Amino acid sequence: MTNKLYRFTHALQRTCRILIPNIHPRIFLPTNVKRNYSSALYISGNKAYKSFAFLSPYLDYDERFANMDKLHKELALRRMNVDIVQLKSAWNFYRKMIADRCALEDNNSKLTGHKRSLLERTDRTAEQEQELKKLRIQLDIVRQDLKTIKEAIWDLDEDVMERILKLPNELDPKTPANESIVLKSIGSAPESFKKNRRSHIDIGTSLDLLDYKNPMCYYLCNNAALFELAVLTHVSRVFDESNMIKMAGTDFSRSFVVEASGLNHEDPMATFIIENHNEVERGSPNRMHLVGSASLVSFLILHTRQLINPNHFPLKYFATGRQYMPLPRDTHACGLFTVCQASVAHAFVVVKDAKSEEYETQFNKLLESVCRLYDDLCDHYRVVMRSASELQPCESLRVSFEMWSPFANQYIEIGHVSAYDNYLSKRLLIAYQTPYGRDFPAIISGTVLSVPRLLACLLEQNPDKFVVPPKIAELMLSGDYITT
Amino acid sequence: MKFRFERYLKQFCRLRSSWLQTLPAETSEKNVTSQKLCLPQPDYDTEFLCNPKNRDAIFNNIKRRKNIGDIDKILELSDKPEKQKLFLEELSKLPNFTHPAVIDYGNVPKLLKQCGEKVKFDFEPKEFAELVTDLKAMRIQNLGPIAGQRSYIFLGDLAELEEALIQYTIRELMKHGFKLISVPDIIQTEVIERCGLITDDRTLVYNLDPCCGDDYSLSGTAEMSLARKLINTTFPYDKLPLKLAAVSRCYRAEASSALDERGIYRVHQFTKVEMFVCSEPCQSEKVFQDLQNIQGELFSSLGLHFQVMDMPPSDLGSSAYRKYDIEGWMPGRKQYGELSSCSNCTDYQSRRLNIKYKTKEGNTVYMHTLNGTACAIPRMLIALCETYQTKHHRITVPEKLVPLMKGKTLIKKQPIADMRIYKYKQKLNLSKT
Repeated sequence: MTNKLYRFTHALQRTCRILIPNIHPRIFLPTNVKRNYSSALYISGNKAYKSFAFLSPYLDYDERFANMDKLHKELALRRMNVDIVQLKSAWNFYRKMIADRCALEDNNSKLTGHKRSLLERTDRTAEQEQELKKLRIQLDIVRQDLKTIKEAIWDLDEDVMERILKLPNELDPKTPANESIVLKSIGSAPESFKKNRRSHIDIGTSLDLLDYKNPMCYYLCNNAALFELAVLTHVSRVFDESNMIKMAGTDFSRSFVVEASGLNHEDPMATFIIENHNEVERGSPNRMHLVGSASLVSFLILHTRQLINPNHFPLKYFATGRQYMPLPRDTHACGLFTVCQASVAHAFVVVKDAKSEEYETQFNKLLESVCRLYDDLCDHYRVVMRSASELQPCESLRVSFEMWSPFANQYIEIGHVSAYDNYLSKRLLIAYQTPYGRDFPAIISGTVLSVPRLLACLLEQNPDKFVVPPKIAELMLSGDYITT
Repeated sequence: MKFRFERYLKQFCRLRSSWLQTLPAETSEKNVTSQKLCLPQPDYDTEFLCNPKNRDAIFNNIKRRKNIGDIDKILELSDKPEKQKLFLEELSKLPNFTHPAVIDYGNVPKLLKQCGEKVKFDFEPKEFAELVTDLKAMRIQNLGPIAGQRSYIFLGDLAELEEALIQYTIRELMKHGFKLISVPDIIQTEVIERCGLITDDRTLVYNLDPCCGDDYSLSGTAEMSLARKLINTTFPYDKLPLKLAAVSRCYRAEASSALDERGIYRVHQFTKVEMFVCSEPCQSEKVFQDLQNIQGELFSSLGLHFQVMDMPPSDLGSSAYRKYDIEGWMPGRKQYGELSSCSNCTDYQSRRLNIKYKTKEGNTVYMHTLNGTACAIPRMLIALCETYQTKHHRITVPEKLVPLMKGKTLIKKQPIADMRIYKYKQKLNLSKT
């Protein structure tokens, strides 16, 4: 017995020894990953050889840090845990280093100039020779200092800029602090929704409308496929009436735009990253992503680093097409509600000044257009203004359009409209000329409608047959659909 | 002794629990692709391929095609069961057989017919890119560093023309009995390989960062996604031919700096309407002809001048048995450009993806698959806009598309805001500290 226990103890001891090195590196891995993170929006000096910086964002953090109370409060409302006191002092230190570098550079050019003028003289006195010697020593020291400070700034770049660029947008005064507010509710959920509750995957499959394999792969068949096209055509019709211009953009984007739009560009669960794009330099943090042509990023691409003629505001665009988004980590797959590819409609409005009345007017106008769209699509939906904690970091205000999913027994966001103030335009140098210089316009944008989500709710609300809203049925090319 | 045992047991338990903590990330990824795709084992026609009598025929076929595959190696491996894996790998590289009619074409396509006539202008026609950029209907400048080279953005009426073309094409295809399917644009790399796109040194396909638990790539055509849907299915004979159509985004990594391919002639991403047909083997030649007729009708009805080319063996992809290309006249470029192609893949894809049908007699047999482009947007727009340009450098909307363009008959200068590149670098040192 003792012998067996002894042998078992030894075996355990060996197992532990084998396990330790296996586990410890894995436990510490997350911090390692963090250290490897590098911004693509702000290319630090020591990455510049790997990656070409197309722009460097406009940094307004002096203003942001001027009101620490407000910043602190807003971060708390967003439930983000950032040590802003430390960040502020890091920022100030960084600023000081930059100022020091500039002073050194000035000094360097002054001394160099002096030295050159002395060298040009052919008849130097002994005194001047002495001065030249002194200058050489001074220049050596200044250049050494410059080199040191440049390297220090590169290190700081990585640390400070990456953290500072992750600071969220300011909150709009209208954003509710704690609880989301239902702005309006059209119609009501019929009692019949409570009976006969089936998932849209079941219903879709049995009606031969849907072939769902996993979040990465699903097919819409028969009238569902025609419905998808027709809904997007209807969106074009509604937005055309609101004098919005249709755009068909690009599906790919470099990392810096993805990062500027508030997504983690290094996380393969935040956007799809292309592994073998031949234009991406080896080791560059500025990679290529697949986002889809009907997305915020695609509209930002059109305007990145552009100076807009101020007479043309407001700019009003929309797009219908694809949006690609991986299923976020730890999210439970839920049929068409969480698919990675969706046909959507996306709106994008640029207004001159976030402080003007126009900003609010245009926001409300867009909400009205989207409401008109939903009036044609369903009998019951509600419009909800999201609370601070539910916002994306880049949003200052978000209004969702929700429909009822009888199976999930909850409202599901089908689309949204968000206000971004000038957060995105500062990061991507989207500007316009003013009489006194340049300023950054405000952006209002949102995926106003996701077809797979709409389809899922419509299916669940009528499990026995596919009821196509009449306005859409008009546009469906043919088929034996049933209209309400 | 007992004390030591307890100590090690405790340590073991601690390590075990911390080991478990490192796991959740992996298990959640497994959840994502809980329904992993199970591809069937390809069923090559080994009876024919491994018969030494056929060696010369196969060898010559390989030589005429793109010279990929090694029949001697296959014959050598065929009786070595221990090298089964290598054997199957070699078999997968073999191209399809070639239609006897095209074998002697060498490297030159054969012109089958021409339709319509070259449009005549009493002015110098502009090229597409210049024409539509001047109308502010497209932007291609300065997009490279932001979205990749050869990126383009359609604005206003040109974006609407794209939508109208898709609607028109689908409407016409439905008249011919096609069923529309909405397909995924991201599919498993293996499906792409099974469809006959051999990924050799040249990278043709964009791969995604391998995070999704499976190896995914961007589909170059809806044909692959449609074939993916039919994996491991058997259809009754009276359901054939199965005619499917899909609108999808297509992604192609192939790069080219040829002057011929300037503007948006060869791009990395575009929208395309694709036709995909499964038929009984005895019907596939007829269906192949039908597909070509449908394409011809589509282009004729939009008033385009084009020619149909029968492609030589050296131009066939490994899955194709025969391929027709339709080349449309692009008056601004003053040359013909490929608008669409149509391939008969016989049982090449169905053997690799297990797509069968039940004959009248009750046997299960591999189907023939065929595919053809109904409308590839960028080139279609080039041909249309260049053909329909007016003296004042505007674009007339083709008659058939007017109702789908909300009655618009002429594309004029678009009300797009003026923009120019913003050269600016913030000087942090100048502001107050």
